[in-house]
Amino acid sequence: MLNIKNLSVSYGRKVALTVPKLSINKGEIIGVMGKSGSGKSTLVNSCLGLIPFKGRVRIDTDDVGILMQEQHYVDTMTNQKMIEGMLNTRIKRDKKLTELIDFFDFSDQLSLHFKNLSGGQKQRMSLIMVLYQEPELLFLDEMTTGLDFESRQALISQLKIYFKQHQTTVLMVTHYAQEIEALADKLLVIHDGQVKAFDEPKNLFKQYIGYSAFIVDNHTEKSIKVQQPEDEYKVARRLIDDGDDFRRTQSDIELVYTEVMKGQRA
Amino acid sequence: MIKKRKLVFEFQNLLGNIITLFFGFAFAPMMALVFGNSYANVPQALNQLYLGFFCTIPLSMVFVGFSSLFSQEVEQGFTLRAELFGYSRVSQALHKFMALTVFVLLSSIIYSWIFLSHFNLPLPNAVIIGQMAIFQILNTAVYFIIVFILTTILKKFSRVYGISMISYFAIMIISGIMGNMDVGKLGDYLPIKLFVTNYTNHLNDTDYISGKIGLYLLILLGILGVILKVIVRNKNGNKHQY
Repeated sequence: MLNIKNLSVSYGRKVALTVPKLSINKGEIIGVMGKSGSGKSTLVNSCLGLIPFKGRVRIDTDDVGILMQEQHYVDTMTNQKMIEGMLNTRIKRDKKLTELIDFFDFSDQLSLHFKNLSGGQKQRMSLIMVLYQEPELLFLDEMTTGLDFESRQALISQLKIYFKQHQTTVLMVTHYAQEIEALADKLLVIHDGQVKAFDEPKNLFKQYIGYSAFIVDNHTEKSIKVQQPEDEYKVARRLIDDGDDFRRTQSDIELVYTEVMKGQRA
Repeated sequence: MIKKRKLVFEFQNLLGNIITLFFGFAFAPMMALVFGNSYANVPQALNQLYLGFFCTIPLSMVFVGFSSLFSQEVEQGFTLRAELFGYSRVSQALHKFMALTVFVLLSSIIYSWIFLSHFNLPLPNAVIIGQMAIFQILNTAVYFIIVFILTTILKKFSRVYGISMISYFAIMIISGIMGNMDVGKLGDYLPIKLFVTNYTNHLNDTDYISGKIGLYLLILLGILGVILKVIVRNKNGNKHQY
């Protein structure tokens, strides 16, 4: 669905992003993580052709959607009029649109103006408009940044159901490991404009952590890596004896991300 | 190319902007009535006044109303979003221009009705009305392209609006709508000045046609169109999807 070869993006003399090779298959959901300024949004913008780049970006569809972190629409009309104008349809006569509005629980906000919506509602409205077009490839750029916990949870749950139903290919830039855990099939870690890792989370877990890990005091920096199943009991026993709070994991994305960033394999 | 709901969207966008409504619809009749009452018994002066403020309608609608709306849309990234929803820059421009033109013609009709009925002046001849309508459309197109180019280059509301307001008053002063500035030979080429001068005495003629004004506007439109095409092409040079 998306193939990148020798991508290079520069801002002035500074090389902001280089991706030698990256392929995303149809129906895959890719979570992109990295520090601020690492090149995540640059990747999205270059895929969309919004910034100049060198190399090749091939997208096997014309049905591409994007949801950006910040949404700005005009404030001169109600949300209903704006949705109808942008999508060239009438809500009343459009079953698909009505279903989407109901799915994202947005009916009560149709009569409001965009400026009066909360952050979560703004994102839901944009999602309705983006998903109405049934994009085969969807870019989500930090869509939940700034949202409160409940709004983020609700949005993720809704998207999880939607993506499962529609087999959408998604490239999702996020700072939240929880979103990757809930939605992504693969994790792409970008650091200083370079791809540090790209694989399924469970494979990355095996490569960078091992069999399992114990996260102490809910802090990934204080994790204990376990390489063999039989070692788990000993580690757990020691932590209990020490009176530590801990949890065992075989999939924690935050831990995977932390270890990938350290660059130390198991 | 033209999408009905998008056109309705642009109408609503203009209707929701108080600046467009005030300067586009209220400014011309308000000012013309205020000044007109001093010349109530001088038909030629009233004709001149009528035509002068008639010309301010597209000027106000585009330079004051549209420039404020459009520059904010560009600054806030709405234009880009509309592109991502499948409306190219050209398509957006076309919808906006059509909505503006309808508003300009509607405002021109309302203004004419208010002014002519207030001063008991006869309705201009049908041929002249047709020419006046064409003049308004061509003027709207010229101003529209100027503001579109300005916004595409400058992007920020404050910059665009500053320049468009300066241009607005400059055009009104140079064209003689505001004050009586002597611009020498330049006056022979200014469409608004030519329009007011030429039509003041011909509002009721059945066979008067001034092709020169239309020709000047078309030449201007052609030049601006080429500039716009170059600018839009350069700005879209790195896009491969939309």
